[in-house]
Amino acid sequence: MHQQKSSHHAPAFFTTRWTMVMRARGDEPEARAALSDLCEIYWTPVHRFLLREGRGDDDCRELTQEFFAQLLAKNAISLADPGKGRFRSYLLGALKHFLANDRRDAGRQKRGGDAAIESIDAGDNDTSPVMQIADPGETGSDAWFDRHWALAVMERGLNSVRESFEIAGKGPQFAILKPWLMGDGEGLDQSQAAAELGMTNGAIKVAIHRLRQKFGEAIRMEIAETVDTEEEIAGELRYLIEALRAGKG
Amino acid sequence: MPSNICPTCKSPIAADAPGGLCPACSLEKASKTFPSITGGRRSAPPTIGEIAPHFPDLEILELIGAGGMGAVYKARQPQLDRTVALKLLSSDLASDPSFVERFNREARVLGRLSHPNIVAVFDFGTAGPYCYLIMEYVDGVNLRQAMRSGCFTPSEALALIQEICAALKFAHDEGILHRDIKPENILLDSKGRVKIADFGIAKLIGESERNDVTLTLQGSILGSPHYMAPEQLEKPGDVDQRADIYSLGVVFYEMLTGELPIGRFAAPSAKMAMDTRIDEIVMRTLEKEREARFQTAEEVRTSVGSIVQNPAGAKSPAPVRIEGQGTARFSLAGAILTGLSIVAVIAGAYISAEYRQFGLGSDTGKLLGLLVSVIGFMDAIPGFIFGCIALGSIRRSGGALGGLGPSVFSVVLWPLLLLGAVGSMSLSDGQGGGSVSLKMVALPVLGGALAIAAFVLVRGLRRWARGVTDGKGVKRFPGLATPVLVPIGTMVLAVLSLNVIGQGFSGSEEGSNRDLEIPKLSVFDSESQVAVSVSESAMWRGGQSDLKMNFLVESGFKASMGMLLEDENGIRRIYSLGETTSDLNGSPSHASLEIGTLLNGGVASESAKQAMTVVFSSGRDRRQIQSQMDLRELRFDESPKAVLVLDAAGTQRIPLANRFSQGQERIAGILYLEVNVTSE
Repeated sequence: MHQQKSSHHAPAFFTTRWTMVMRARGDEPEARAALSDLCEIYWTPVHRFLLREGRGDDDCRELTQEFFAQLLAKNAISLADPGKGRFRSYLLGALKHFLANDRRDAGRQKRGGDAAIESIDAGDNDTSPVMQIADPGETGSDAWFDRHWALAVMERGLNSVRESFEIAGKGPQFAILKPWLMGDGEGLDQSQAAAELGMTNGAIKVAIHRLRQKFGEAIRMEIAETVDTEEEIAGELRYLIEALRAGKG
Repeated sequence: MPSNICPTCKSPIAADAPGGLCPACSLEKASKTFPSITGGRRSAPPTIGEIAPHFPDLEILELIGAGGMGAVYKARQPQLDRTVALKLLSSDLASDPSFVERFNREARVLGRLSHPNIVAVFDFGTAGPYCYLIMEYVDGVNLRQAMRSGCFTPSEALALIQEICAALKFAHDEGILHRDIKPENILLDSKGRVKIADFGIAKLIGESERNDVTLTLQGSILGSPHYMAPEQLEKPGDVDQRADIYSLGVVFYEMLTGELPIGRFAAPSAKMAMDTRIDEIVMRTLEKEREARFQTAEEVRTSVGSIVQNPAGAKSPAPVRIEGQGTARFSLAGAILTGLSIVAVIAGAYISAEYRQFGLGSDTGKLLGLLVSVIGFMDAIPGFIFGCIALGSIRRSGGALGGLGPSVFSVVLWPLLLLGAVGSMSLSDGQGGGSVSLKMVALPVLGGALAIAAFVLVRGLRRWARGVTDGKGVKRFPGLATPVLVPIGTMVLAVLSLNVIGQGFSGSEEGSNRDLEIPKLSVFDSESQVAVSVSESAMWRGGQSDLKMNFLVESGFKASMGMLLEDENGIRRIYSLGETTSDLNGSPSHASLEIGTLLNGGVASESAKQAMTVVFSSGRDRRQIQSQMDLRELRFDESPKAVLVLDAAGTQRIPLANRFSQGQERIAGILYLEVNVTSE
């Protein structure tokens, strides 16, 4: 029963996909499927990252598609370093690598397909894109990537909570109570919400508490998919919050 | 309601923010929730000040840990003057009446779980917003901390695993799964004893989530995925004790190697020097398919125990005795009976062979020998049964009881030897004449089969008795199938192949046998009446020792038997050995002429004289005839062959050898056994 439901909602492996990928080192079909799921989930941050690089939208979509296609095709998980443990870092690393290659190829075509491959160990006057990627000035786009990553996590978490409320027939409750997810700020009136939902003030408090609890769980679940150990979840969450705060400023 | 200003941080909410919520503040708030299942960590365990009012009977001393399942505090119960551990489950759960009800039910079961290796639950209940458990306080470290301060030696790991298994077995027998075995939950007290914490908590909390349809999909992450059995990750609703065994295997692997068994992991012995038998156990606890794993914690414990008791290097170790346990009683009884059986069988065989030394006649001697042998065989049966019982108790003791060697001997070796003896006897009796070549083929085959069967059976039984099972997925009698089936199969194959060989040989011998058996004594058959038939064929037994001919003598006839030596110059010497007549009442009677030990190179004159004794028996009438022949110096150079020659005068001549010697002089010639049949 539950199993069937799960197939409508989420891919078969709703737990720790990244762990599964890491465990299998890319060897097993399940792991490939898990990686493929992860890539689908985090399509948007990659797309946004590429947009930030200053390309046209169509171009970006194409490039994103190509990036994921390459990633999934060339048993790339085996390149992953289990020490890093985070899918986000892995994906960003892979993306930069991909981009560097892409630019080099493009450059090479412009130059008529000849040499100049040794750009990696180039000197000061080298202006190859590889060096640009490594430039600290580029951290801005890293933060951009992280911010969109955090948004993707949040969106998935929020959707999953909303769905769960809808399944339980409490869709309106979610819609009305969701602002409280941000905290008990001014301008949020619990008694008004209670009146709208026909609940007592006490019941509203409990409902808000539960909503937050569920959202917290959902966020942790999302993050758990992308890290290797349980201990890293809180750290990653902290990191994403910082990324969002920084992005705001 | 504010549309695009965050009510918390007062900054504008970005247009791409999911749900129109301020992402940073929402996640910030989310990170502050106390994780009821897992996922986060001690983000916000309640402070001592917060909880103290709810526990007036406790002095809460300090927070000692917080994890997925809740927070744990060290506390004191002043009335009992004891230190306890107070575990608080998520504050949110206590507001759910159905959870509280289930919690009370489960906690009551956990409270009954009293085992030296399981952290005891003293009390439980709800207080304010908390569900709590008051538990035994374990003054020590958890396995994670212990591992950080250094890897375990294999023998330390084995000892710990045994204790963990004992606890798991106990709980599993009570129907309680742990579901979250990991180093953090395995505590080591100050005396180094193992105490497993959080039995059943995972299930309790897991169920609360499962109950809630909305989080079913995600409620499946309980604890640490690395320690969870594959089926626990995929189908959390359908796990049994074998999931705990998998988790135990991960812990075991980590203790031995300091690493987690991830991906294509190496056998522990490839990483650290250790007994390779440990690999077998570890790998079997980590089987992906739970059917291939150890099925119970007890199996793991006995397997580990067998390694502990037979340290590496001892390939076929002597039974190790644990003080105060001694020897399996029945192994002694089995050994005594088997000993009696050995003595009786040997005595019987000796009597049958050497009855003359006891002044016994052939029949009496053989009968007595047979009788004694049969007693020996009969003794072997209770010896076998007692041995089996002894093996059973040794196995139940996990190899702690002694007496394995004698029991295995009673159960396996001796019965096999007896079977082999019977087999070889029937072989030499039944399959035709002096076919020494057959025996030369048959004996190695039989011996080889016996040896293989005995080896497999003994090794298998030893392993089985020690509780080490091998083979995968053998459900009913793990470890017994191989040692039982292989020897049986080997013996059956050996017997079959011997039959084939035997038939081949007797086929080739048949021509001569048929000649002997078909009485073409036409001279005496003028009225189509058969006078004498050789009923069983002439037969050499035991090489050059016994010659025996059996006749069926028709009424009114007599048969005589003699030997004829003919050298290469055609000179013949004829020796009469005896004669037989028909029964007095006129019916056909069986008679046999038997030359005892006919020739046995170099025998003393006494036995050579004995060789002259011809036992003549005819039905009820038995006589002994002393022949005149002196065979003391007669030797055969080759094995006698029974080839019947029938001459025109109605005399059957059986050439026994084509070379013989008399004294120092070698004579090339033919020794015949001659059978004359005359009318009385």
